[in-house]
Amino acid sequence: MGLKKLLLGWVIVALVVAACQEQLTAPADCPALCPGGYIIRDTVLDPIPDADSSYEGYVLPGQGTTIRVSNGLPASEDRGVIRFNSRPDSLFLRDTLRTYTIDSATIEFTITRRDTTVGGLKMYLYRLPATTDTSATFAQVAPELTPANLLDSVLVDDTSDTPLVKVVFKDTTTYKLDIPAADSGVLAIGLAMAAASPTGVRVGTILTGSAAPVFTTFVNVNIADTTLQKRTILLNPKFSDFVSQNPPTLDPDLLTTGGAPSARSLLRFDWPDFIRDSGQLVRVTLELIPTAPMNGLPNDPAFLEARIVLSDLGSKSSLSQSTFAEFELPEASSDTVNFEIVSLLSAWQTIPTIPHALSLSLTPEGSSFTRATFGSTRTPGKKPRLKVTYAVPFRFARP
Amino acid sequence: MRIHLWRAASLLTLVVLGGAIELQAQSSMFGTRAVGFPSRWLSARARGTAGAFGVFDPQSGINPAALSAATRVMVNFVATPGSRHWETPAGDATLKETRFPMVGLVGPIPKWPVWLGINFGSYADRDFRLFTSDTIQVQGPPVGPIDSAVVFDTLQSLGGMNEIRLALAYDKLRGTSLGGAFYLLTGSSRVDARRSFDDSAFAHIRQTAELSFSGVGFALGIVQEVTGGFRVAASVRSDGSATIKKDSSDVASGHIDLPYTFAGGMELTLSKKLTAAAQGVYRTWSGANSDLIELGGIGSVNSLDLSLGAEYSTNLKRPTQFPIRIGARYAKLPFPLNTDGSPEEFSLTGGTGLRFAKDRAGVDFSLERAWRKQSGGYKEQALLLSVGVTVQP
Repeated sequence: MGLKKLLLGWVIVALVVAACQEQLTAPADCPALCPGGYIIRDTVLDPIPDADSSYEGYVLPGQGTTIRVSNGLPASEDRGVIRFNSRPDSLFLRDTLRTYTIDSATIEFTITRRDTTVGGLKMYLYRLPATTDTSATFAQVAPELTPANLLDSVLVDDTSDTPLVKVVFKDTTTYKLDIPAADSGVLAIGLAMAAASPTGVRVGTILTGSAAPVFTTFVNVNIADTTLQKRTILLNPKFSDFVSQNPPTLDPDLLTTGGAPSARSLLRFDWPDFIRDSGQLVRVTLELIPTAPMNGLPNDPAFLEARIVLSDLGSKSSLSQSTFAEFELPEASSDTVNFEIVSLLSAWQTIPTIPHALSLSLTPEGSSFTRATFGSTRTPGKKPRLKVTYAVPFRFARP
Repeated sequence: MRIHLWRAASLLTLVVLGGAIELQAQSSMFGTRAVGFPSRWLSARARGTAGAFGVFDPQSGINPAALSAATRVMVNFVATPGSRHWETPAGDATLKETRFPMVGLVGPIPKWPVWLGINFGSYADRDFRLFTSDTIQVQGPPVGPIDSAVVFDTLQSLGGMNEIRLALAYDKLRGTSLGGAFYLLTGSSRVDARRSFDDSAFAHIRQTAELSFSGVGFALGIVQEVTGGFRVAASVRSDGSATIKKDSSDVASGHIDLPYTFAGGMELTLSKKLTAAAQGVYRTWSGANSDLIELGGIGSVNSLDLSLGAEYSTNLKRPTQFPIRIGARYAKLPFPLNTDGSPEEFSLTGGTGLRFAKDRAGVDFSLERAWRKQSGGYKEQALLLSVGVTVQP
């Protein structure tokens, strides 16, 4: 084979290889260059009448991530209650229980949420009876929050959104945290607050980890070895709780979410075959109409959370833990809520046995000041509904 | 000869299997509607003359009677890499693609005045990927006040209609060759439609389907030597109706009448070095018009394809070595993009080829420059290289 032929062959091969690097996407001008075609339709689905309900008691006060403390807040009037674990009256050192004398002590807690537009925030710590427990009510706690029981008050730094409040008891104030022998080492405190205008704060609990309240006692142990004399006793809360002045009652004719104890709502739908069989969901909006302004703590957003129900057992329904949608509730608004939940309802399309029910809750559950009530199928003019936009099968055979 | 046939069949199988994995391309914009862009069933040699020698070419798939021109068993494979530039009201694009429109085996049957031809080829290309952006109205009553949403659509189709041809030619008549062919029409188009929204409240849509095509066709042809240097040829082909099924459903999604194809040509040997030819192909695509409109399409018109070309031998001792082929072609395309007129095409081609390995192997190639247009601002320029590899076992 001559050199000319060989070169020609390789040129051809190179051209073919170069052309194989394909570029395929082209701009199209519809309808001329657009075979097939999408068809998108809209429909409205009402919940099954009288099959929508609200249930209460999922997260009790103190079981959430924060406790509420407020003063004059329209949403709720709350006081905090914290009881620490027992402080031992002696320490085990060098195989011997040894007594100690208290040098100083601190109580620390973190304000995880506040209305940063309200200044002059001052936190008040009161001594509560050591017997205080989680059954305490506002009526029982409030009378204890008197000047006589005041441990200390702290002006909170306005420049911090999540300030750590640290109250130090030393020298002349150390005695305030002495615990009588009859209390078995238990310290219980009440939290109240004041500010330039009515507001509230949320204080971290043991569930928030590093933001949990801590009672620290610095002691001198009666031991000859001076290197072992100074010890620290750290105590976490046995419980942290809050009490509300006027806890709202659950109205069975409304769809309620939030509050403490927290409420959840359940809505059931007849999911039509014409969507399940041949529709592809494009947009699904759950429309909810509030029956009252959704008051909460300003600048502390609350989120409406929707989850699909895996097994419909009423109040004890099992919910999907991985699939949910959230909607930030506008503060103090009575406007209709349009909650986009298309990502949730794909399960209704693909899992034939799943109940066509939605659970609504409010997060942070059991902690937020916000409690939202919406009209149910029994509320004239304020019924919820599902607005569904879906695509029917693409017209592939349309040439 | 038996060994040669076996070798040829093996080679053909390898080529078909190898080519099958690369059948992805961006077809012409005039192939986005109906069944796609109709193929021309031409070898690289015939493409070098714009198709003017198609009805006389044994390696092309137009005229079964032309098989009798094959002196030996040969396997032929055509690849057409190319690029095209689209101009549409929605924007311009430059696209590159590679197609493998035809592979075939032809040759004489020993001791019989009969020739056999088997071809695998494209009947119509339906390869495209289109991107559009639009603003649509959604959530009208009863859902709520009408809202508008910006959408981004991508529609991709890969595949098209293919054909398997079994052809026979008979040439014991003095100066006359007759031929007949049976066509099995098959293939599928895998369509992927996606729509995304600029508003995250809307979920993306993706729907896919496989449209399969089936049908049968028949053809008859003749090549007549009128004088020593003058031949004429003609063929007629009927492809019946194509059945379209979606996702292998038992129920057909539709039927499209396929056209009758009438082809005719003449070849004139002007000198020992120069041969000229002309060809016309007329296809009754308007028969599919009502079917396409019924399925929601735009419709179709009859197509016409006129070619004029010549081949000049630069080496009389070995005329297959680097001949010069040129041609020009005008075509009226069958599938308009709108109801305002029909698309047209004009192209110029040139080509050459060579044989080597004691003429057991050869390469032909052509370069085609095509201009296509339709009223409404649709223009397309294509530069297509056709490479044909021929092996004679």
